Amino acid sequence: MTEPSQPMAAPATGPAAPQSAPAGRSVNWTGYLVQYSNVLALIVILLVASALSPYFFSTRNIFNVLRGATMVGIVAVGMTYVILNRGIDLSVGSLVGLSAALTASFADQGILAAAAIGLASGLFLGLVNGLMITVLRLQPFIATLGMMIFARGLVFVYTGGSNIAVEQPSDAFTLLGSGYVGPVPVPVVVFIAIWALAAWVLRYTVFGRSIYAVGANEEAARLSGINADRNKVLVYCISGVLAAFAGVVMASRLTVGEPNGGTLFELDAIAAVLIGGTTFDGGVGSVHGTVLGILILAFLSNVLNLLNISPYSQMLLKGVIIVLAVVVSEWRKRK
Amino acid sequence: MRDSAPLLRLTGISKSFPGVRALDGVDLTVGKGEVVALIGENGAGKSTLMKILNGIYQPDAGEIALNGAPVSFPDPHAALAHGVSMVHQEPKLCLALSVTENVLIGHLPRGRFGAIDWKRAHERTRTLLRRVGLAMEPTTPAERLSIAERQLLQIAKALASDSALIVLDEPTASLTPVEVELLFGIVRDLQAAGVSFIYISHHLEEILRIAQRVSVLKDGRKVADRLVSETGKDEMLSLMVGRSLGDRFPAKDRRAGAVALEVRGLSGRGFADISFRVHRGEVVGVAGLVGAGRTELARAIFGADPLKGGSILVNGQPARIRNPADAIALGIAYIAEDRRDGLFMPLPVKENITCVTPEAVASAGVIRESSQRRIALDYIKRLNIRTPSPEQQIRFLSGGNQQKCILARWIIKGVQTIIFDEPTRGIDVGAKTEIYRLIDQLAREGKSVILISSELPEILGMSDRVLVMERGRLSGEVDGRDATEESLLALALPANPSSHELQP
Repeated sequence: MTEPSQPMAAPATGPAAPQSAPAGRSVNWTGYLVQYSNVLALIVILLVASALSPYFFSTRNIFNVLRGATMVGIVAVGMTYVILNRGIDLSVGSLVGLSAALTASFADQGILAAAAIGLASGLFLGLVNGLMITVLRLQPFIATLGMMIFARGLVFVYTGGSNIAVEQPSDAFTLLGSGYVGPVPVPVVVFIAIWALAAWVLRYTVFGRSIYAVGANEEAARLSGINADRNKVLVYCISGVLAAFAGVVMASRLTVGEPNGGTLFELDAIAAVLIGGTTFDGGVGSVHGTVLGILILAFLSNVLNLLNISPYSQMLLKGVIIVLAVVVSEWRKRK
Repeated sequence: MRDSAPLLRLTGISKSFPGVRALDGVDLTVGKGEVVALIGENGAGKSTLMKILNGIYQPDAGEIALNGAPVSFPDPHAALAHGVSMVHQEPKLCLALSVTENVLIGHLPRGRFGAIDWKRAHERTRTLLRRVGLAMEPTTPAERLSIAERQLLQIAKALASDSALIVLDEPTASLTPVEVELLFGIVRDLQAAGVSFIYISHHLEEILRIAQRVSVLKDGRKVADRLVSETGKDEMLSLMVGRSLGDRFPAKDRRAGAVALEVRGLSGRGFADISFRVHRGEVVGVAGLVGAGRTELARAIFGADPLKGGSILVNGQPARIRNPADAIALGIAYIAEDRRDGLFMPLPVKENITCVTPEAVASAGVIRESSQRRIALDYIKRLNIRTPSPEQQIRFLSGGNQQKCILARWIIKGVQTIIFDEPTRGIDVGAKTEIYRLIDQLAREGKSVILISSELPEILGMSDRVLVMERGRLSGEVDGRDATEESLLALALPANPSSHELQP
């Protein structure tokens, strides 16, 4: 549709030469505003917060907020993969709860063994999600809705509906959730590592690019020789494992496995992914965007807490922001 | 006829997109009951102009006047309300809904309590269907209609909103010759009843037959306005591309080598008992009517759809092809009929070019962006792909350039056999010639080409040998030098309506 800006009568030489971006000449401010609206939103939130409370920019507050955001953040990274792949994973909240309960109940076997059991549960149920979607050809929404309810059922059956408390948790057990590296909480460090790895895989590996390709056009991916089904199964496995890992962090932080642990995480994760500009149409978006989305949601509720606004009213604002974010990302696409 | 103001007058329409001037002061008039053809290469600005006329885009400058009165179309509804409708190349219908709902969508008649009066709706639909020569029940779901019927349904839909001007965008792209005749009859009937048409097509023969006037766009400007009676194919072609196209097809002095691909008794959904060989250095055309089973055959050979029986031999060895990855590993490529089945629209050109060759751009699964970019740039230059950069999203490229990206993919892969399925559908003449040249070049390098096409001149111009399919069977094979449109059509048309009915 868009025509070349160069004259047509230059067959052999010109057309292929790289050019600077078309918008290079006159600065398109509205374009930039739309492009970086979520960065701007975060900056505005931070500015407002620092104006409201001298306490806001304290190391302690910042790291508290960040630590609080890591569990949903880890889930949201997996959700980014799934949504880029043109899927959805509603089961992650339940997988967080299941993994947290398992990790807490096996705490006496040592953190590594307990974590391995938790992670294995996420991997296995993620695999089941993937197989339901590829082999049974179920819609991702339906398959993972079933899994969401089933896995939450597992948590209730396993815990008998009451908390599983870790008896005298060791330092090694609580390190992942409550430890510090210098002033930085361990979960924050771990989250940054996951973020970096996930972003690298997505950008620089054949597997990562196949996630985009399958999400953008599954038929074209298949006709290009990409094993789209295997790609999808792997994506749901990754989402499951990351959710389970968030569950391990939760068990380590709270030293208790709660039957309701991780409830509604799937919605917060989806919200962060959408605010970050990844679209439901597949093939468009990034993990960086999702991290931005997580930060926006986390600092926003911190500011609202500092302003003494009740969690109920906060939900009103969050709902509006999610819808606005999607509207803006539609503009971005049309640009 | 045109004593007063014309039905439609566009004056000085201009439209720019970032970095591109798509339209530059374009004028266009359409009289009442007139068929005006709009031609130009892809990217010449036809689509942009029609989107402005239909209220999808707003012009930066210029005026739209209907019957002499200036109007503005802020959205498609406004255009429709003024009697301007568009029949899209790929019909936009609600497939699960009935014919009636599709035709009368937006103005279903209401009865008591505002409920839909279905009896009146079906009655009204039946009348409209009759005007476009369709005979099906109004309650039929739209998904059961053939592509040709869907086109006609769209015209009925336009008539339902009392359209005075209907834009037909490549209406015959998926139609068989018989269906084209039917469509032309209907256009002429409606024309006699005072309906005007803007007819967009790459088929100049059709324009000569159906239109009274032709307007030519080139690089966003209108370069000519001719009465059809005073122009011809050659002049139209040279106006569009600015050069004469006497040598559209490359010479056929290619030499066939050893057999590269052989299929024996192949059967699948939509075709049965197909046997043929393709040699190295050969272009084998596959002709047939739409629905003859050509695409189904190609997809099954490529492993995209399952086979029911028969065998495939690659270089004389029996091959097991269960999915496209197997076929690609054996050196077979398939370029899909619908270009969108081959493209990753939101992804950059460079990834669309290198997506089947991870071995060329990645080591141990990690992509080396520099080699990816280098390879992409190399082929952008070699195939003369018009894109501002390898990072441009492919959805912004014109159809011809997108097709060249898909072709580049398989050239880089170095496959032996390439199956082209309607490679030039909806592509402008200039890009077509380039694709023909590339196909010829591939054959000369010893590749084997299977060319499925519904355009007989294309089959005749390109093929060393022509296979003809008819209702799922191979009905004949003709030498490329002896073949004529008549001989191919004779084989492609159903000879004996009840003889070999294909099992579904």
